[in-house]
Amino acid sequence: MNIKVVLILTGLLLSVFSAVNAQDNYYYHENQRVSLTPVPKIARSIEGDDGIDYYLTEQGHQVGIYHKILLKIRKDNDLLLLLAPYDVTVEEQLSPQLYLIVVPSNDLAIDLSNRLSESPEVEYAHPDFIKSRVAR
Amino acid sequence: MLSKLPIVLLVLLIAGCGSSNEEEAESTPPVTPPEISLPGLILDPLYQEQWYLNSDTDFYSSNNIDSEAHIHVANYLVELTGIGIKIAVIDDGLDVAHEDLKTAVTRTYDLATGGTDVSHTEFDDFHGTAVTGILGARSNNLGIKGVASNAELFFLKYKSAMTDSETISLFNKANEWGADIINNSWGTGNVSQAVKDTIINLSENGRNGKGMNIVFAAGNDSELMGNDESSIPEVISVGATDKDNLRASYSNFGSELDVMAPGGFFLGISTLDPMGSAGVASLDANYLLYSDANGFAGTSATAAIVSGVIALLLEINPNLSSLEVSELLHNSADKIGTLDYDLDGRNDYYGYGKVNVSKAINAI
Repeated sequence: MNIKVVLILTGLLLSVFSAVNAQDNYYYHENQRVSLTPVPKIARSIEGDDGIDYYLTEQGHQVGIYHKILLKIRKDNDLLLLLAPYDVTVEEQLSPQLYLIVVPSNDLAIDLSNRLSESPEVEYAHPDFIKSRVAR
Repeated sequence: MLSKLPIVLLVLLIAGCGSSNEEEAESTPPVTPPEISLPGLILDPLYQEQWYLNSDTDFYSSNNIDSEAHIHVANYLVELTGIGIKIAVIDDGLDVAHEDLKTAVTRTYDLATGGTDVSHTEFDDFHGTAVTGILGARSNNLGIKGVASNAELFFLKYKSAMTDSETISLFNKANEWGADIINNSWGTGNVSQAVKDTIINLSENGRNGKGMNIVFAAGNDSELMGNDESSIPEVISVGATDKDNLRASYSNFGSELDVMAPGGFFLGISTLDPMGSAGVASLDANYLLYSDANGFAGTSATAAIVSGVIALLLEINPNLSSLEVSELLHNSADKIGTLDYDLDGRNDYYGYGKVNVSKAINAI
């Protein structure tokens, strides 16, 4: 089975999975799962528009998630081939292997970045988090 | 951020509250090389009260400042001004037209608008102006003297809440502009992998392969630095000391803390405030004085001091790699405080010790 077939099957499985299951409640940071808990609107400390979902990480940091992810592929891998199974678009290349990817929904920003993180062609992937900067 | 300290809090602090245990015992005086004695040629009127740079005997005595609380610039600030070195500051806004920054800032960028107006968003914002003044205020017979008073400054205005990709774009822009140093007097406490990866890449490969010198404030919460930008091993993270030449009790700590610099606590760090009625200063229209109730203190100030010091080192030898700069700062730092330093010469509360400009310069 070649890699293209594997990727297409992975994409199809993700689509089915997403349709019948709730989204992941974690993301990967340096290959470790970090849990995410949705934050009620009243507890939001990051100002944003209604298109942003907010979560609390297990370390107590608030993050915003919207419909974009950051993806770094390993050298000598084909980005378009990797993304072919998914309904996504490449918005910007930020460095030689780092890309900003637009995904169809906020929910998929978590699920898709997790599935990509689990791919051997990917160095890392995570939502394009919104975070507060604190002046010191 | 420790600015806007209420007067009551200052009084309590001056009365001796807030010291951690390791700060209570006497510190061992560091060994420093003989300082060059040249006639004072710095005419900026507030230089006398810049106790973090200038160990003015009268000022030190009247404010009960430990004689070693400064960073031992000797007269190097007359000889060295950071000329030819480019420092990018990423912060919340800047009074570019400040009288003490004239001609200093050559490039600006506002992330929110994509334009060049980096003025403070709120009338009482001041942080970016205060930070920029410490590292780059001109030596022009006005106000204070910046550590690197002839360095070329770039300013990139961030948003208080922004995406990782926006953060990456600010670092990439500073790199495109040719910055030698990026000062970051901020943090998220929760750095993402893509941001970390970008910072590491610039630190190792920026500046045409010599490596960008990226400086971060360690934070003011008296807690482990954790997964903060300042904990990235490739950056230079800076903690804060106080007028007693000991770790300021608010200063964050951890295994990736590099060095210390005076950050103030009982005494503020004199610097710029947005001109006129903008800003927060209560004693002077254009400057945050050391004694201002809203005075500036914290690791934001210490990062700016160290960014300026790096500019002086690069002025002497522009070919120093970022790794060599780090090693110079580490190896020349004064081992202050009462905690033991390990075989590598560091501990988690003071890093490699407090920056000593004279020793760092002599080691080049």
